[in-house]
Amino acid sequence: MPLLETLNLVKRFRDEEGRSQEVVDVPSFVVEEGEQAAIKGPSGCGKTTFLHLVSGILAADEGSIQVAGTELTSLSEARRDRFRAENIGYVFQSFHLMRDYTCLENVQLGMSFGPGVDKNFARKLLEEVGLGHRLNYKAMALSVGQQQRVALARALANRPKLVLADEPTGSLDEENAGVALSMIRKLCQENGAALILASHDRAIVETFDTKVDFAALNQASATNAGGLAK
Amino acid sequence: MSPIRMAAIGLKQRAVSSSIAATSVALSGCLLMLVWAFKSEAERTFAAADGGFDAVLGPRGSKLQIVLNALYHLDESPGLMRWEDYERIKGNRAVAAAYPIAVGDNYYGIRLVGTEIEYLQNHEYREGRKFELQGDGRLFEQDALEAVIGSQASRQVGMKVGDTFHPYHGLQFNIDARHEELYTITGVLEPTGTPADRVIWIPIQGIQTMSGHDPNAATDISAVLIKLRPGANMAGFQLDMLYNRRGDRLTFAWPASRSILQFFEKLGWFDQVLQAIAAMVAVIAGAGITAVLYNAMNERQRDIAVWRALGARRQTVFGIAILESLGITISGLTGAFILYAVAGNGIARFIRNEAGVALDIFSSNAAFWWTPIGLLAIGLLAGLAPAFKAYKTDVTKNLI
Repeated sequence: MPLLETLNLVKRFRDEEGRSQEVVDVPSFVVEEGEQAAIKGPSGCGKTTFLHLVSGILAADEGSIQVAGTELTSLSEARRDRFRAENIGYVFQSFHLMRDYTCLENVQLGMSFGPGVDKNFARKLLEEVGLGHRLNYKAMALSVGQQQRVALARALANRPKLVLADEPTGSLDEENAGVALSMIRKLCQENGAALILASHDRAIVETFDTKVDFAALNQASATNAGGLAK
Repeated sequence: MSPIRMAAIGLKQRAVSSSIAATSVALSGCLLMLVWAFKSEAERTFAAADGGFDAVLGPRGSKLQIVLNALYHLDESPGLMRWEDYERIKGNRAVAAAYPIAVGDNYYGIRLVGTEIEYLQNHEYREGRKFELQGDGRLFEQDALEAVIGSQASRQVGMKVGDTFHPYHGLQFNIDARHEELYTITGVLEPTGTPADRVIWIPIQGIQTMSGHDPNAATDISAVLIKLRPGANMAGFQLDMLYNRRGDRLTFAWPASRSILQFFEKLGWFDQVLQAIAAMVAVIAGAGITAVLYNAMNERQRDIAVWRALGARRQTVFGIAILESLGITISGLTGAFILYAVAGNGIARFIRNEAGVALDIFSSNAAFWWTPIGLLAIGLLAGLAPAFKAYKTDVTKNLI
């Protein structure tokens, strides 16, 4: 049984004139347990919306999303939130760390909405990303590369089955991007989490065995030219 | 990380605006407690500070004026009454004790009260409590130029046993109105927490025959302090009838504390105005909290979106915003109690100095329950709009 399976997934938004526009229309998408997949496509092709649907942040208008045997579309918003906290880790392009929280608090924040805070595991994760000596530093005092590593530790805080990474290296220079990518893949593997990484960077996508051209997969973006992907 | 900790970090991020909002809560809470608790405590204490007397007989005039003058040593006497009036009421079967007092002189603004030595010797100003003298002092001799000074008055003018002084004419100090008589302090009273602490006691003849006083009034007195026999309530009615209804020369103020309570009742409108002002300040403080948190929620849309993306439910972010509001309110309440203690002590000291009545500002009072409950309710309401904004935060729009 696959870890993630979507079927006939459709999401529509209303444009400024109030007309309904399809943004995502994906017939089928599958990721196996522990698999690492990259989805590529230009900005605005619907990758982020697709990840929001898979994580339960957004509710689908049509279709089905099964994650670890749970049908997300049948859950209420509150139960999707709970499911996300317990099963899905999220790494954002601009990290979205809490500026006034310490590194440790940022990781604990991810835990506090899930099964509960495990301070030792939070420390261990930060040590694994090489920030064991920066536990009590405020996030805003870190370099961009370090912030990305805290974000990665936060995404893994609840031992998720699935990690979604949306342009995780988009804010990094080439050298740091390579280091960060290796770290994300390595830690997901070590922690038994599958990874879906969305990127428009061909070089990054090429390092994955499973590559999905989202622009081609998404029937909606093909017709709407990605104009409403956000 | 608990929601309380997250709310605390949120408040710390906006320390200045949160502190200002908390300060406004503190001020309103303090004001509410001062108005409310002080009024009831002052009422209770003033009514209880009747010096152990049931009634006052004085010249024809307002009962309140007679009581304020004779028992609290405030205000002026409405006039004089005859010594025979004192002897007549003293001889009444229902009267357990009666003490004449005469006023009309001062020492640097501290009132001189003439009375008989028996008052200081025998009278219980509170049940089972008689006047006592500090150290090796003694009471004055009835026919000597001697004085006993109240503890507060002693501190105020720095006089002790053996010191001498010239009285001044009138109840207000006038340096040109010095009497020739030279009095010697023979004793300092132990504190009683009653108006007796802030006057100087001298023999009644001293006031009556002071140089410069009208010789025709040499036997007149200002009032008679009366203790009725236990269970003599009927006598109180009869004396009230005798002096107030049938007579037209004297006024019988009975029960003594009722005049004070009526005085407070007359001040009820003023008390209500103050309470209304305090309530308005509390509402304004609530509006301040709403403004601070609502603006904060605008600034924190991204943070809230991140919390939601990490799995926080809408109810959780709603709850955190409410906790922040309550955090400001609770900080403000803590400040309110501190301010109340500081301001309350200051006001209580002022009242003690001016009226000789010791208020216990921390005695149990409904204000100490209802003010926090009311302010917490306001804080909760104030947090609703910001919390609802947090609840409605659009995750996808704010995660760009």
